Amino acid sequence: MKENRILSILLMFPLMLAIGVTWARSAQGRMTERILVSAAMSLKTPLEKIGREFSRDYPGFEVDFNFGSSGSLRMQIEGGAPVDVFASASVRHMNILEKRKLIHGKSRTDFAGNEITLIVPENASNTVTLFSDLELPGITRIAIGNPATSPAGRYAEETLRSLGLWEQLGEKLVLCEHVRQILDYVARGEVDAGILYATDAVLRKEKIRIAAWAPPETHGPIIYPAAVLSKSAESKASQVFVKYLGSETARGILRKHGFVLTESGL
Amino acid sequence: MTPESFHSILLSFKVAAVATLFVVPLGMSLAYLLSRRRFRGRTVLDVILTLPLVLPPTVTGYYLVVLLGRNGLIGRTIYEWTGWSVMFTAAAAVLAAAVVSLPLMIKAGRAAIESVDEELVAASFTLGRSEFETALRVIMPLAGRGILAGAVLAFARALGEFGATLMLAGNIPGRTATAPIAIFTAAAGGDWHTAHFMVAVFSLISAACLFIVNRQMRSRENES
Repeated sequence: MKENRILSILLMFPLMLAIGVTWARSAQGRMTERILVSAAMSLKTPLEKIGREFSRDYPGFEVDFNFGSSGSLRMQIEGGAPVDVFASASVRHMNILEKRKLIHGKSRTDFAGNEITLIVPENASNTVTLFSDLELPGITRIAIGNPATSPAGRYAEETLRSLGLWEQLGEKLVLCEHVRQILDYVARGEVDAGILYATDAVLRKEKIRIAAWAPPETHGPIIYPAAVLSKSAESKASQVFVKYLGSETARGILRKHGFVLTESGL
Repeated sequence: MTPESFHSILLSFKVAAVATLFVVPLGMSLAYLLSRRRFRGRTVLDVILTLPLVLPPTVTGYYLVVLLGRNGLIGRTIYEWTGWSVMFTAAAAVLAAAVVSLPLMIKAGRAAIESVDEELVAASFTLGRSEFETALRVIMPLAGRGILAGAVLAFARALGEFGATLMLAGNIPGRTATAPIAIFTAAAGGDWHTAHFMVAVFSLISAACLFIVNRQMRSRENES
């Protein structure tokens, strides 16, 4: 009896393995060129839509996505991950890869941009409508990204500095490690205001209100570059996909999700 | 539920099951070595094997990429010989889960082996059993419950693995994204509906698994 039970548990493992293998096999298509795009997490929703449109417009090309923070995506690429295209939320990581000749420089293109916004809880009693209102005594806590570790935090600091508010607000600032954290604190009313990307702000429209947009000249440009990796330079689908990011279809989708489009005209 | 959510939950359980399948025999062998043998470098081996328990999983994952990526120390050789790389495959998810859950299996296994009555072991040797036979037929059965507990711990840890998996296996929806990663991704993208639903389904199945294992363990206890 006891042996039976152990045996049946042992038998279950190979069975599950077999199911897994069959599953993986059946999911593979063979007639198409399939590429893998490593993309910043913040691009997930629009890029998946663009990917579907892309396969519709170019039958025979298929796109899979690998989402993560731009920094860890870069480390994966340096480690030799089988990636064809990199779509980054930061110019810095793309520059590092370009310096190491890991991306095909000619294919590099800036396909989207973002803005910095000031958000407040939807039911907030405060009447914040300007960045300078953050100095009001009624505002005691402001969530921003940690400037040391997150790009969003760096942009927030730049904005507050160029508006001459950074020194005064020092004690009110709550540093967050993830943009999601800022959004949650504001939505729950744990803080009086937060500073983050416009594209993240629109994710919780029902719980938060966008009080102000930072003027573009108050912070460095927020740009999303994409490029084909050097080892995939010959891949037709990869080249076409990076170009497709500048197509009317792709631009329309990006715009709808709050991304601003760069002036380079693509 | 979208096919991708379904896939990620199924993948998580497959990955955790296969990882546990490797971790139990390997972990018990190492636990045996560490608790019953004295050899050079034992402490070093112990520390290295415990490291994934202490390191942030993302760091463990980074080390795995450095070792096993196509440009990695070991990965390069494998790639040159076979043209295959483990990165961004389901096998990578298994490997990451196994590395992170192995220390738990070893700790539980050592405690179980060390609790076995030394006189019974001595008796087995006196009766002419070899060390291998003694280990397999005296020590392991007596440590059975501890082994099972270790296996449950390792399985649970593998099921929830996030950081190392994200680095080595990537986050490819429908291919390598396990449930914890898919849930994180959904939440990060503001897709609360999917995130909540997946958390509910995943928690429910996990709780059911642990409940069944606990009951099995108790009934074993009653039998013996």
